[in-house]
Amino acid sequence: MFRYWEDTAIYPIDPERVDLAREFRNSIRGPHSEELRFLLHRMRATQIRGKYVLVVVETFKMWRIGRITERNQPIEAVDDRIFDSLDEAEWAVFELRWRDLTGQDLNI
Amino acid sequence: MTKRLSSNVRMLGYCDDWRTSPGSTLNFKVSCDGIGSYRAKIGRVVCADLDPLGPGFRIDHVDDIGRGPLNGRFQPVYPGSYARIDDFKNLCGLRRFSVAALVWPTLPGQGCQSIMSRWDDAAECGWRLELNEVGELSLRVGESECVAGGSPMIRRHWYVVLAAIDLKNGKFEVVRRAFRKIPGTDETSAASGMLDRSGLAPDVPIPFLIAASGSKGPAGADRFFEGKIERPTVFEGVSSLEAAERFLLSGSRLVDGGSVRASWDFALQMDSARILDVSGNGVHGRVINMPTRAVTGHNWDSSSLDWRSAPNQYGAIHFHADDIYDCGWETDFTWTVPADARSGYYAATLETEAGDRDFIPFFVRPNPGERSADLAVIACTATYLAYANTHVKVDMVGSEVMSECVNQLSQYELYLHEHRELGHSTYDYHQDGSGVCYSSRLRPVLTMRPGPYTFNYISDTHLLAWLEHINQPYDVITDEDIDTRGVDALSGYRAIITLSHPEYTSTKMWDAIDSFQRNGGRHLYLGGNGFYWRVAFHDDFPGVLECRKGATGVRAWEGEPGEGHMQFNGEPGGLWRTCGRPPQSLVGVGYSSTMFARSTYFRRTEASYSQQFAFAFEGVGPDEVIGDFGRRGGGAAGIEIDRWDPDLGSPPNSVVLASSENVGIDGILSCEEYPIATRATDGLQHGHVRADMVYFETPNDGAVFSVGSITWVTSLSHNGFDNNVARITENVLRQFLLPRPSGKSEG
Ligand SMILES: [Fe+2]
Repeated sequence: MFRYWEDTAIYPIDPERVDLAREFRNSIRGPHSEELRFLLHRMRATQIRGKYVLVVVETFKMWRIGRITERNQPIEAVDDRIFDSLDEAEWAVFELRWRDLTGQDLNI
Repeated sequence: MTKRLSSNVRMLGYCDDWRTSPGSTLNFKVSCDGIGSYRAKIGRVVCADLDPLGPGFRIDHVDDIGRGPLNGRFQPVYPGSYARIDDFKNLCGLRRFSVAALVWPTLPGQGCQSIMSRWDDAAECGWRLELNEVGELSLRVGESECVAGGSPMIRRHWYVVLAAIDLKNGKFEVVRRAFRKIPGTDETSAASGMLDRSGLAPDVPIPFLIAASGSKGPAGADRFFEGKIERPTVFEGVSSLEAAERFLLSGSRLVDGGSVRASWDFALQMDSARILDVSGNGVHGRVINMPTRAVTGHNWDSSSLDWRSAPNQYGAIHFHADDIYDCGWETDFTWTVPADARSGYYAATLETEAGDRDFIPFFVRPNPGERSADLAVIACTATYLAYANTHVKVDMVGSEVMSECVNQLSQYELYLHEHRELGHSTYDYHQDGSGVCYSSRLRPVLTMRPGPYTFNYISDTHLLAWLEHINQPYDVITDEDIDTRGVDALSGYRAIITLSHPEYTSTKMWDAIDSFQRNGGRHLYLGGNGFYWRVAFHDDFPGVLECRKGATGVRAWEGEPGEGHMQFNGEPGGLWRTCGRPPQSLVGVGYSSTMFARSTYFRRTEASYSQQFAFAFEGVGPDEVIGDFGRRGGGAAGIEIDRWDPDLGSPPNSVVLASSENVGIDGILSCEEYPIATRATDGLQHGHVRADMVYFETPNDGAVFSVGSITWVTSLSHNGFDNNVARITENVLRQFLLPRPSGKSEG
């Protein structure tokens, strides 16, 4: 049987490259440099169980960050923050992933 | 402490057939969780998109259901496929008997999974042959259990299993043998014991089940088997493994002697829900909840990929605990479509005082012979079915890479993730890792509700909003009507419109559209990635779409080798392109690329300035870019785009009027477009990554206009519907509705 990729993202994230994080902060929707694209794809290809999602609190207006659980389980909240901007929510997920993948907080 | 996010979905419904007509009555089925009462009304859907910057959400009120509130009640869903032998008298009264089968477990070790049983769960009596919690073969008789230990059973390997029960001498035994010897694992494992006399099966009428065993509750079955079962058989007397195996592998349909009391050959009537006993005792049965049939058996040798030409190699059924066909809810209210109802997209809206709301979509189409307009809009119900309750965002790693932003989950998606009993889409995997190839509408379909999941259904209503805006009368005809009635469903209309993503097409649908086009019909294909998968419907399984997939195409899952032919009609499934009918051969363009993150615009070609096409561009400046706006990615060319290609069947007289420009890095060439994997296959570097707008004429004054982009219709509402996407669409529509397109040469 052929299964869709589950945990195949291997591009290493260099915690020193805060410049890439700054590039993302300044332009959430891009276009992005090639190195930033690699970094974003690495982040977006994290394993499905535990992956961050934006849970709609109010359609087209408010979101919060959740994590994907096992089948048949409710989605879990990551924190209590409510975002009224999709870009701000996207950035908040970027910060969480930076910490998850580099072990370091991103302070910019 | 982690906090669980509640979906707050407390009310859901569906109707018995989402296609209806004036004079017909629809039955609505609703389940409420903690809701005492609700009000229901019927409306005609003009735009189902809640987007404040879109055409504007609008459902025109048509009728109220009842004078006051309706009572809410909870209605459960019982998923899990299995087979039931309704008339099992022949299997009663046996004091010494054996059961055997070939099995291919897919999730051994994940819960108890019965292979065959006659089990009364309330009384805890009867017997079950099953995989136990840790994946060992186990035989339970009353309170006694006998376990064949040793090395655990391996997923996706074939075994022969046997259980013998001797009530006369108080003995029982269980044994299994692996078909392929693997060094370091036990080829055979067996156990036997003495029966504890308590809890022994009294001969009460307990149904015989395959792939499940009886449960206490109203579901009737539990302990579903995950995987394939082949040739389950009941022998009178205590059989040896060798003797049982010899019989099972002989493939014989002519049973010798009287020792075989029942033997189900799943290769017979494979395209139905029936399972046939070949013992001569007539102990036939039926499958429940659509397990997958037309799947390879233990002896499949790849000499044929088509079950029709080697049925004896397709004697297995693949059962899943998460299969669901028909929720089977009771009716809560009905609505009879008034004789003068306008055809269209409709919905029942259910509301409570506390603010709960549900939306049950359906389609009112004219009765045969009662066409009310020159234009028919084809509601792509095959696509809606294929995507029904998709779990891609929560089950597939690539979904976020594809959308290039963190996925948003609506309340309905939270609910679907938590409530898998509502079933999956043809984009999903079963929990055992196999692909879902059936999708039913006899369940709430939460991907057709107003909310942030806007793909397909909601996007399509942008076209309806535009038709309303220009006061264009139309009838709605569904894909399933075309599958049932063929070209008769379309004849009489001067023009048809197919919507944003008519991706799934049965042979009957393809032939009907082709015939319509060649007999003077005009077709506006206003979508992308259309006419892509070959699918099937079946009279015996109303409301179910079947979709098989091979090793190519945007397949989400890949079908098992040898399982590419559909159960419903034996035709090869997969891409129409691999069946010799690329979409280009029907509509001039065919799928080439995705661009989910951002959309782009079209620019006119030199050819478009010919006087022949002036009708299409009236009111559009010669240098205007077309559709550099829209509610999906900001452009009319996006999400999935199609290209013109004479090599793939674009008609010789077809003309590219405009092509996408500036696709850039966001465009990604589709997998079937790669003969060899190389770099430089993105839209910045590869010329095939593009959308083409194409026009061609067909015999008898017919014509086809294709835009090859999913985001075309969601650009219509820009600037209050005053824009060049709307203008071109209207120009072509007006032309197509004329008795004969002007500017067309006579004869
Ligand atoms: Fe699709």
